[in-house]
Amino acid sequence: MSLSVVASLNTLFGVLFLLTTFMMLALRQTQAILHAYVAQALLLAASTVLLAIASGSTELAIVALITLVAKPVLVPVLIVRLLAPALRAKREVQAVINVPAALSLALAISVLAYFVTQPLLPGADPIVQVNVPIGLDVLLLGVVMLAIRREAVPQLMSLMVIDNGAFFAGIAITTSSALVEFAAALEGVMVVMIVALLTRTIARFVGSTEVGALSALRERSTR
Amino acid sequence: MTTHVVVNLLQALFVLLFAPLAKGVLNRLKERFQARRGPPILQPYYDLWKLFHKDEVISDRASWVFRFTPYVVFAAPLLVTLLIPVLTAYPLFMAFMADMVGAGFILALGGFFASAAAIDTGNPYGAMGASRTRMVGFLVEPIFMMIFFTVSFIANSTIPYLVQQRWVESSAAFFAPAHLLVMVAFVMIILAETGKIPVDNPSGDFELAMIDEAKNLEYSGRGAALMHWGGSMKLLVLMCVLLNVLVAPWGLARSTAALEVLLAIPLIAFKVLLFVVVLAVIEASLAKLRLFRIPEFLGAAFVTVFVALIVQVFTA
Repeated sequence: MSLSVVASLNTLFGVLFLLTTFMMLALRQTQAILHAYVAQALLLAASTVLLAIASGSTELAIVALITLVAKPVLVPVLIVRLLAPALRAKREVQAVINVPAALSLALAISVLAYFVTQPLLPGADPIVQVNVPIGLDVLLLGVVMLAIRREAVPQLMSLMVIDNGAFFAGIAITTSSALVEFAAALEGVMVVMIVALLTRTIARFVGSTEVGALSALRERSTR
Repeated sequence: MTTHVVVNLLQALFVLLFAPLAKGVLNRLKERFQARRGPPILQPYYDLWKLFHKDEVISDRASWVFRFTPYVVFAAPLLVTLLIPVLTAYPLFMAFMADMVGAGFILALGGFFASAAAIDTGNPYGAMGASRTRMVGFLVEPIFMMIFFTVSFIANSTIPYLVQQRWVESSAAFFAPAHLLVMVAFVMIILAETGKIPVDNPSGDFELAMIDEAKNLEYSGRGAALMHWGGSMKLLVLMCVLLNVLVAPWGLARSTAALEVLLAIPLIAFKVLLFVVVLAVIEASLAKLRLFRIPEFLGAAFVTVFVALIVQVFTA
């Protein structure tokens, strides 16, 4: 593959990756958010594979392999296994602000992400020029998602989005010694396991995964 | 010069005569997808024929706006036809009179008159439909603007012929992310502007749920025929902009040779019918959104084109 083909494919993956993040921000049903997450993870894995092939580095190839197994397969399977009742709930997930407001905020953050990374980019590799702003953008959008969702399961997926964003920027910068990416690719699974178990426990005690409703303290009546 | 005039008239004639067929195929396919038989694909022509031969009844409270509107709605898409590539890849004599913003303005003029006429007779459904159409229109407008910005960044122009030449140049330009995103956003806009399913249900009979159709309720006879014909031509013109300018400028005539121009007619018709299949699939597989969910659908379109713009600005 020539360099320009790799660069344009990478841009394409990156843009679709960003678009799936916006989708996750706009969707209202947990199951749909999970589907968008899987699409995002697949795009991330595709991008990692592409960069591994293009750079020819063994470490990145191993990272790509781990990503391909962990992010689009293991994480969703874990979520489905551990949190099936919350996923199957057909009700709409509550958010602190409405969707158009969230999308406008997201647009402002996108501009910010591109603006902030501008000084770093001139002279950089074309792949870095694409991945760093998009990675930062997705990371920040994950933070927004985490802040505005009021339910545990979408919040868990927001954590994964933050992770994906950082990862997307990371794979472009490191080609040799990808030890950090190694760890990052595996750590996601741990995070999901821990948070999902925690959510299950909350759901058992409270009867719901709606953590937005947990802000008020209520004493148990002693009678 | 004379050939250009002739070709231009041929383009207008093509839009005029082919538009009801495209609508008929769309209706038929939609019914087929729902496992029903559906009307014959020539039904829109029969309807137009019937309406033109019926008497027209106009409320005696209606002003000139109501009488004048069908002609504006009918003429606006035909005027736009003079500005965009329908059959030819080279600019014709009117091509530089207005750019895509101008074309959008002419179409919006038709929409404005339709809304004004809907309020004119005092029919409550008309006013409701008009206000809803305006709501969708307001939300579509910024998306159109962003598409024009993106397009002018890429092609350094918003004249449809120049944009199309810029994108036909190389396959790398075709697969550029900004291009693909603009395509997606434009399809979403077509759905919203022509009252297709996620936004509006064109085949619904329930006045309270209507958006686009409610504006035509008061028309009968020739007025109704012109409104319907204008509506289907608007859809065809938007499809031509999408297909010939933004997506796939293949099949257009490259020279003024009569044979080549004539050959372009079936090729373009085939291309449009392919897109009609896509439209029918979209319409058959989605449900109509609640009115207050429409801003979210269009918000998604806006985000798509906005991402296209920032990617184009910052990575080019």
